[in-house]
Amino acid sequence: MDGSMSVLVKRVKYIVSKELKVPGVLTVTETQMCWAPHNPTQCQPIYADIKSIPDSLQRAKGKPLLKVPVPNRALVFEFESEVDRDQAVDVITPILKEAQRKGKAPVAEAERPPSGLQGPQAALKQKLLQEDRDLQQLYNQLVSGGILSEAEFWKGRQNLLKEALRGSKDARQQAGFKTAMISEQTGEGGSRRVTLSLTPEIVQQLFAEKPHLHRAYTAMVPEKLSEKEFWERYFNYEVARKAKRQGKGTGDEPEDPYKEFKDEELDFREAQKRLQFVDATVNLAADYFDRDARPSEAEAPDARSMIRDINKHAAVVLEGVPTPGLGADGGPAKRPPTSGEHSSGRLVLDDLRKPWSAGFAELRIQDPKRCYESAADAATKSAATGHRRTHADALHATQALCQAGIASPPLSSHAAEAALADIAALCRGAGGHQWDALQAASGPAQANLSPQMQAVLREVCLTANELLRHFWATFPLSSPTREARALRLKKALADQYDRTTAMQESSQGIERVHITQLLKPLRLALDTALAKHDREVDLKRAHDRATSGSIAIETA
Amino acid sequence: MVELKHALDAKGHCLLEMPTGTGKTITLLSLITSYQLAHPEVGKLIYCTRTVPEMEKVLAELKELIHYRDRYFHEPGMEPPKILALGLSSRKNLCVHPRVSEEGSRESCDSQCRKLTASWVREAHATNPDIETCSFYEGLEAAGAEGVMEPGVYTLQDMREYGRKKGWCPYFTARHMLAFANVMVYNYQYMLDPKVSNMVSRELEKECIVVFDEAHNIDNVCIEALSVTLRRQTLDSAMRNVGKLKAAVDKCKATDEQRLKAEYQRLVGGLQERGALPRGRPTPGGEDWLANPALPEDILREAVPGNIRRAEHFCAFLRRLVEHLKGRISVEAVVQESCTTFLATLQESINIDGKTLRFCYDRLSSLLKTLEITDMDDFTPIHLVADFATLVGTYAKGFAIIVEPYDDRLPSVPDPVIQLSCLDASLAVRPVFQKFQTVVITSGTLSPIDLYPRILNFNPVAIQSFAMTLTRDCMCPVVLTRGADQTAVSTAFEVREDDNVIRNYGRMLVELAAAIPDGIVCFFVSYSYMDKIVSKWNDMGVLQDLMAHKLVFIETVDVVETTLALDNFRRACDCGRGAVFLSVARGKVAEGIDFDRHYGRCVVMFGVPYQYTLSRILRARLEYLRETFQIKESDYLAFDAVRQAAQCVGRVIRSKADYGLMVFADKRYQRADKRDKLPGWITTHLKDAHLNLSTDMLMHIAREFMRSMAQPYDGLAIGKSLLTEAQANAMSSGASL
Repeated sequence: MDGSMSVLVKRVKYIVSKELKVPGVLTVTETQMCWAPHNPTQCQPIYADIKSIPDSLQRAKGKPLLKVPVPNRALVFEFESEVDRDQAVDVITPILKEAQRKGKAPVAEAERPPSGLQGPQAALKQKLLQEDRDLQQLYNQLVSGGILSEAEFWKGRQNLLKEALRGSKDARQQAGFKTAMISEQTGEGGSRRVTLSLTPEIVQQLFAEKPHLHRAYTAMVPEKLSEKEFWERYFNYEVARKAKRQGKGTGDEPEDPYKEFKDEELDFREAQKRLQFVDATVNLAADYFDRDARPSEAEAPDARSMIRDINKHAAVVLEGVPTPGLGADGGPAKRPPTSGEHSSGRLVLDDLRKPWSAGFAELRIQDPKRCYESAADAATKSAATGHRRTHADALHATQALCQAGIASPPLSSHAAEAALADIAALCRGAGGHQWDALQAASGPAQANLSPQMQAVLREVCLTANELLRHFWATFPLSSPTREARALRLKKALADQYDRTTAMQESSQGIERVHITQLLKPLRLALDTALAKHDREVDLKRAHDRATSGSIAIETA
Repeated sequence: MVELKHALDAKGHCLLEMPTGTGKTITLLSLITSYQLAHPEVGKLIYCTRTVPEMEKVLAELKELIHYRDRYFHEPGMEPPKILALGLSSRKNLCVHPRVSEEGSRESCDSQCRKLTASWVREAHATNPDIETCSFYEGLEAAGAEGVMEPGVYTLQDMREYGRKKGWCPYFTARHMLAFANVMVYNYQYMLDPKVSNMVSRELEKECIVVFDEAHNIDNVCIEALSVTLRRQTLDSAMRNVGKLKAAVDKCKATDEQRLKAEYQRLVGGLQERGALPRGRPTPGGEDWLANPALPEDILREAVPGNIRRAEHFCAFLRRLVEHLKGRISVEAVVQESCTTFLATLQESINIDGKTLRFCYDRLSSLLKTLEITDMDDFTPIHLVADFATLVGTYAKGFAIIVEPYDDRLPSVPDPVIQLSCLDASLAVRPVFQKFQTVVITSGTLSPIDLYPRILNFNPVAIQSFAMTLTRDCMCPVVLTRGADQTAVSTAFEVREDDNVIRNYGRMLVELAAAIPDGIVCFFVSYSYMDKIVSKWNDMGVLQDLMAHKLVFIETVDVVETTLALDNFRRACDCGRGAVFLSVARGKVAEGIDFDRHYGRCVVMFGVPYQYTLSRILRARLEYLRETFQIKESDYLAFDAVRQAAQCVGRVIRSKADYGLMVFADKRYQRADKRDKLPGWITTHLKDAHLNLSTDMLMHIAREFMRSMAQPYDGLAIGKSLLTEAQANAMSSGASL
């Protein structure tokens, strides 16, 4: 919540569906409309930007209902009485009108997808949000709630965006490099003056075709040469070379100004690396290695370098433009393709091949208890090696016994029965409810919960996980911004933590056991995250103190 | 396949011309491997291919065949027959040692390998563990007799994986398994080049069946195997090698004279007899890289002449020989002589006789072994010299020695060269015919088929040229004689530099590129011509227009670059961008790369790929052919050129479902004496309407052809050329009646 004054606070019920009406409080400030449930386990609080709400609120006739259209959906609130509602509307409408008037000032604002979706992919994001309810819920909660910024939220979802971009009809076909060779565009006719306009694409293509040029560029610009000088030198050479080849030029063969950056060795290794990916049925190099080397025909050096250029050019065109970075502005990435991309990506015109399937395996935890315990086990493993050793010893001993072969069972069946009964009693004593729950439920825990409860739990988990992702991304706390963000996220996490506690406490009986069981991994993760933050902060503080102390000493 | 069966039964050789894309390889493989099963007394199948890519293809087909047989043809209660098939290649292609396999060239890889696996290195390792050895080689050695591969078909890639998994060296495993395999696939050289075949193919039993696939060039391979070229640089470095050897001998004398004495004793007894050289099972160490370049039966089994038995004497002998050669190479004009006259001058000037020369190679290898020298790639020049000497000393006939002061094409650049050129292709292949009971020579283009037995000097029991059944006219050979402006196009010497011709060729290619989908392959007559034409096209703007339609890739003399260009070409075709590959007839691409399916919808043969007729070697060979086999020079040249052209265009049709346009772009193809040398499967499809075309007519035909061929392939029509089991049974019962 921001600091602005609340202009309206009303007790209303939020109507989720016909059956489910959640009591809560509606608060309207000058910038935000917020509804929070009394019982946080029942429903999520709802936040909406005032600017995003049109000023036409719909009142139902004869019922104290109010429909508030917010982006993508409409909220229906039930007031205590019609009078109550009308009062509220009277207060809200001017605020909305005011907000609309302000918001409309830049026309684009209204056009733009609401609630601050920004950037060139706003429409795409909008579509994604519409398609995925969970995502939308998360978005509303975290971004509209001010916990995360827009950019932060989408940063972790680049692959979603990319896929959407691919799938969406309006996705432009990615433009590849032009097939015409750049060096051949230089200079036409006999005029001495050649005008060239370099676009980022041309530069990128040149760098890809002539790696030595890229090396030269990174080494020399802008320290030794300005960008313009750099390219002038290069194209002067190209033009002279062309003139020379056509027999127009005079004097000696022009010399590549960036010759010293050529690295035959590197090129050779690069080629060797690529050879490994070549189909065996076209691998002439393998054939060459199979027989005695024969002296090769001599070639005119000029034609040879030209042929090499042509091959290289075609290879680069085929390789295609590296996928534009979707991060900043959707423009082409400035970085030319590196060797790594060549070998791993094997990029062939992106739009002509199947998209890479995301290389993730679905994580399915059927039994959270086991997962939790194994995690705990792993944590205490180092401490408990001695203990484990005894287990192993016992196992060995048992195996040895089996091999020795015992003629009859070592215990009488009566004794065995008694032992079983004992163990059963012990288990029962350990936790009555748990035992019941586990006995009653053969399936997974969530099957025994009501659908509403499940939905709530799911939503809690999603939110917390999203927050956790962002939280861990802030480490190490190397800058004040990061620290601030971590702190902000920590607060949100702590809220979530409190919520889970509240949920656990508000539920009863078997349900409580199930909820506890389902929330255990999450709580564990939250615990870890919070502990980590505290530790980091402590460390940093200690460090700060130490450094400031030393400074103090020096100054003293 | 009756002919092949007859030849196998008769234990004789055969010559089969089977059109490209008719399943030649699979037919041979299935019949011969089945024959092996039915007649256990028959030995291995040795399948020789021209190139490593072909080798991989053969193994892949065999794999499929065995898979099929396992699935369908095993009797209940019986295990399907197991066979072991593998490919053998050089260390460079098989090595899995992390460092050695990174080496850039064949020679350095070999030499690095020897450094780790030579017997003395391994002995030294036993006492001093700091000396590095190869864990894979040691792994194989440790496995000993257990080191036997499971039956199966292994491509080179499979071999490497298998080696990695087992911790065995794939190269030596393959060498070792030679004795156990049912099918071996390797390069021609391993069979024909005596230096290599001595160590690889020597212990193969007589009952083996040898197949030479894509054998239209076999005569050239034979000749190459027995020819040596020495340049001035070679001789200079050979001189340095001799110096090095001398130093090594001196050092050895100072430290371990016993070793040299032992060697001397061995040499008194004769190299072969005393086991100084590997005989029988190849020595498992890394030192078996030397073998005599002369043919097995030509090696004298007697003591090495006394004057080169002592190491220091031999060094002096080598020095004299190299000095003499250096003197001989400094000529002003071309000298051509026979081995006999060369030997006579040698005797006269430095008192070296032919018999001593004959032992030169063996003596050198023995010395290098005694001196425990492993970095063999440094000693390549002296090897070449020894190779030269041994060949000169061994053969009086069928060879010519040509000394040229400069290349005729570049008279201003002095590049003196001594060439020992083998003129008789039958020399190298003779032992193969003599040794093995059945040799099958096959290719898509062996026309005229009666020429081959003559130049290879053998008597096949079966000669057959098969026709091809096609369900539709999927081949469209056309002869283009004129450009769009009606100027005749040709690469004949007088007009090949003409801008008009070059432009017409270029415009034709651009128009084809605009009309034909996916891949186009072009073949030029030589590298230098291609360079020139590409350069001209570039200046004329043809290349730019071409690039507007398709990507352009060009073959170069650099194999690595060519391989990458080919790979990119394929990817460009795969992704639909389409590409043109410019290549050279007689080049590496023309020899062994297929442009099947969408990789080659059209192939253009620019010009008639004649050999460089001014070459003295060629002239000497032509003369020899005329004298020995009464083959007319012009006939041979035309035959050679046309078989190359047919080979090139045949690259695009690899199956019945495939289709491709074949453009012979030269007015000389119009003449009957060229056309009738084309193989039958091309001439039958060459319609009269497709002769003497100009570019615009060609474009019309091309569009029409592409349109009709691109229709869905009617699967039912296959029935015409592919028999069902019932039909085949009916045929065989009809035949037996």
